[in-house]
Amino acid sequence: MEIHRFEKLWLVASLLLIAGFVATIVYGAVGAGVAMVDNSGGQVAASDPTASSDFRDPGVYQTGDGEYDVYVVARQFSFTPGSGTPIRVPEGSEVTFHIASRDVTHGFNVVGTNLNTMVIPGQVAQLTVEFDDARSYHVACNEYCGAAHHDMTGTIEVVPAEDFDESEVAEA
Amino acid sequence: MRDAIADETYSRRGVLRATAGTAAAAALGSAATGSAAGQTDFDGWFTDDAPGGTTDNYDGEVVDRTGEDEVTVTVGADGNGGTFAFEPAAVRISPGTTVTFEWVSDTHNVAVESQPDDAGWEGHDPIENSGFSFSSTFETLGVYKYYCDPHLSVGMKGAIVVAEGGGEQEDAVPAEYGDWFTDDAPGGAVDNYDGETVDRTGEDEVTVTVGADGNGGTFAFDPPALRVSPGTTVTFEWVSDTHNVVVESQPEDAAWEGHEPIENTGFSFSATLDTRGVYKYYCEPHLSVGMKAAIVVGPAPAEDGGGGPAGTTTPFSPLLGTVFAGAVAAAMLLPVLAGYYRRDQPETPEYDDGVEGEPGAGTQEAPVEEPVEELDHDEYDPMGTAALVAVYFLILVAMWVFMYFVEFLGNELTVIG
Repeated sequence: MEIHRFEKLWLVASLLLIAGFVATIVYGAVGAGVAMVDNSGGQVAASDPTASSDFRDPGVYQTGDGEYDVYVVARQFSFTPGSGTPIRVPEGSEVTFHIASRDVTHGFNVVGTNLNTMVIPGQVAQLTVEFDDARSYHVACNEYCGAAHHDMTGTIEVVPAEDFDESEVAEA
Repeated sequence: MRDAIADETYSRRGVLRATAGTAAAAALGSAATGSAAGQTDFDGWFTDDAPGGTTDNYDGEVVDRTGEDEVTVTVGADGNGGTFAFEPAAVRISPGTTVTFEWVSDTHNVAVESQPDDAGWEGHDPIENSGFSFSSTFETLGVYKYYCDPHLSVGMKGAIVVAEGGGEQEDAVPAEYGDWFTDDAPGGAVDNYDGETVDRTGEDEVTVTVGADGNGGTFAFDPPALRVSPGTTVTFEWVSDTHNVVVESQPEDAAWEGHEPIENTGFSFSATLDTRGVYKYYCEPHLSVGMKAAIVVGPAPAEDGGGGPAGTTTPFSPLLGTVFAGAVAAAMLLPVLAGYYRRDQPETPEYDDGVEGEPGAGTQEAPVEEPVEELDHDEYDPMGTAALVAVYFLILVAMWVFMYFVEFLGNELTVIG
């Protein structure tokens, strides 16, 4: 088979491109630390997550220096905390969200970011994220959950460290 | 007998007598407060006996708006087989009340059929469209009958009764909810509120069900609007999960706290409401679906119409529907019409392959040209194709960089565990 030298050129270029694609995925996982949401969050009672010993009462808990755990209960049609009172964490902290549903499948999507997980009844969606900038984020449910799904929103407020009120942190 | 009194009251002479004599005035008063008032038939104005025939949206109820300074009548509301209704069809007002007629659909007017002798109401004869409105102040006691000229034949008729009495009860609390049950308030419209305030006055204990069926699930307070006497103990009973009772507003000197913790089926709490006035409350988790309610404490004004007039919406215009259906039908007919129009066109002639002995001279072949210069496989440089492929590659790489490094990694907040 005779292959024109121009064709050889762009065949090689295509293979290099594919190698580049694979390399970026590897870089994301190893270099940038991108992780997937997995089943490591554990299981809870489907109708009452807080009854399980693995899931605390909804709120923000400090687990270490600049490390926080946030327990969120999603239900039709609000996040607790999040919808009524915003989730407040200090700037520069590493926050692990534990999100559980007490009725139907919900979504937890921090709008405009890569934070996005499904919240399945009986399972805890667990994800860790670093909040570097003081700003507020919107949270939206992105799994259709009922009549007022469109109103199921919440707020995360990342406040400057000096403004963070330690009394807002729930007792561990 | 009660009907007879009512009829007499609303006949012109009856009203004149009522203004003159106290006995007749008492009859009018009783008519205004009793249920008999609702049964008046305005001398058959809303029935087949009058021009235009039956007015479907008149259910025998004269909406009592006495004591109010301003009353609105919607012109062209839904009813009578289309948008051909005055809403309310019959309304009772106090002397001096300003009635505003608001057009919510097209081509209606307000033509006066009859009015008290010394009244000079002119209605509004010119035909107007949606958005128009005019106001009239009614001073003279009596019955005013009016209709819409273009739609009289479908029964678009109305009546206004100007009467003393009623409504002026001193300690009465009108069931005024403002926009609480409408889309204008937080949470939107309350589906299970039909404009009716359930009257439970005189009872010591009244139950409100929390999480009853309604509003697209188990997201309703039942009843949504309730009237009780001062000092009544209202018990809230949860029949579904995750609801609370948050007070939106209450009379100034009342201090009802509702019940903010979220509770489940089986929970209940009671509140004794002593202060007269309107208490509005909602369920915080389900406010967004319209889980709202109100309690009125205090006796109803005489012949309480039960809240304000329901909002009028025209979700679908019959005219637009007809136009749309016509357009679709025309589009479907087009091929048939086109075929009919072209029926005389000659058919496409068959291909003539030029075989001897058959019709036609055949199609001439173009002469074959000899190549000017021949090239080997690798001697030719397809520069144009190479340039095209290069452009495609650049686009691909640009999209890759943009999508992964800008859109994804540049999107801050990334899940790291």
